[in-house]
This record gives sequence, structure tokens and C-alpha cells, in this order.
Amino acid sequence: MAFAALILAFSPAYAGESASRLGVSVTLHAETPPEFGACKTGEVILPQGVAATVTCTPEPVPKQPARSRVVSSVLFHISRGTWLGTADESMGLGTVTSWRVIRLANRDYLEMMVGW
Amino acid sequence: MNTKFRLLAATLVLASAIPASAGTVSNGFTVSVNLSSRCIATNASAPTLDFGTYTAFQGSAAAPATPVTMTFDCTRGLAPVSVAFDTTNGTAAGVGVLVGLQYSLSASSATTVAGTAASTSTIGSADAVSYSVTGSMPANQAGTCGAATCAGSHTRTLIVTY
Repeated sequence: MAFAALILAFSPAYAGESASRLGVSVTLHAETPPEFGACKTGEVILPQGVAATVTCTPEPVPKQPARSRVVSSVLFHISRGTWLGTADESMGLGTVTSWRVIRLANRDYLEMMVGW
Repeated sequence: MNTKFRLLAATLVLASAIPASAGTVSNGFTVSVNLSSRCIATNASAPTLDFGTYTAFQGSAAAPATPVTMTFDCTRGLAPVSVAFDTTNGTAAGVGVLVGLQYSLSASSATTVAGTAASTSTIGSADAVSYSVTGSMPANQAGTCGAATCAGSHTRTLIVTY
């Protein structure tokens, strides 16, 4: 009896709940612009000959990405929106068969194939 | 003689106009009521806490541009003791997941505007208790989305205990 009275004495005088609703929303962009920071050179053997390749893969972006690559004795130096030199003038025995420049928001990269 | 008769008649007429008794008596009674104190939600509709656009793997946490305010009217003098969130769409602490993105909500301490007391001419007003609710969505989350963009929303509830 005394214990019950003690419990009642320490109970709050009132207890209740009130609830209010709110909405939570978000829009998720799952696709992000690809990051091309590392380019590799290599060779592939094709029916018509050997081709040199430059492949840029989505790897972590170096802080100071290189702007030039030497591929099969051909120097391509790409500045933003400007070509320095051409493929043909220092090609030697090779012939540029295909190439393209892909421009991203913060850098350009070159993808080319050289056959000789 | 005639004069005395008139005076007597006038006295009798005057006496008949006076009430038979003069005085007040009171009888007291008790007025009582039991007040059940409570708080009620007063938001007209559920406000939206919008985290905006989250780009997968973004490097910084996302936060709503604008917090939302949840308001309650409470019995004057009744101070809510705690707040929590529903456990239907998350945890009582406010953590939840939307389109695969984890977020956490937080409610500020209560801000109370005291109501006015009732009087013989007015019923008075309630204490207005409000909470500011905001949130955070941690950085570097992948999310869950089968398309380029997915929008998600759900409803949470702020529960005030008093």
C-alpha cells in the first residue's frame, strides 16, 4: 500500500502525446558525369595492321592531369579548345586512321587509333 | 379634524406602498471542473522537408534549404517533456532512408509563446509551442535508382510527449 502510494507520488501529473506530420523528399541523380583522368597507350593487332591506341578510363582524377601524350612518335598536345601541332606533320611512317577529341566540363581527352 | 383625517389617510397609503420585508440572504454553491491538459497539432497540412537534389557519391552532405516548423497548441503552463519521430518510416531518433539514401532529422528545442489567460470577457488562448525540424543526408551515398533520376518522399511524424 505504501509502495503503491510512493509510485503514484512520483508519476507525472499528466501524460499524453500529440503528433504532427511532415513530408521528407529528395531527388536522387544516379548518373554522374564520367571522370576521365588516366589515359593509357597500347597496341592492338588488326587484320589491316597494328594500331596504337589511347584509352582514357574512368579512374580517379589526378590533381594535375597530363595534357600531352606521345603515341607512336606522335605528340598531341591538347589545350583547351586549341590544337598545338597536327598528327600528320610528325607522323613519319604512320598514318592517323581515326581520332576524336571528347570535351568534358573541366578537361579534354583524346582517343585515337593509328595504323601503319 | 379634517386635517388630521387627511394626514392619517396619507400615512396609511404610504405604509401600504412599503415592501413587507427588506434584506438579502445568500446560499453558496461550488463550481468545479477537472481539466485534462493536452497539446494539439496545429499545422494545417504536412509541410515538406525537401533535401533537394542529391547526386550519387556527392562529396558533401546534403541539407534541406529550409527547415520546417511544427506547431502545437498546449494547455497554458503545460510544457512538453520530449519529442521523437515515428518509427513507421524510420527511427524515433529521426533516421530514415529515401531512395536508398540515409538521412537523419533533428528537432530544435521548443519555442513557446505564452497564451493569454481566460477572463470574464474572454476565453484566453493556448501556449503556442513550436519546433524547427531540419535534417542531414551524409555524403558519398550511392542511393537506389534504376534510372538517371529518382524522386522519393514519405511522411514522418513528430511526436510530442507532455
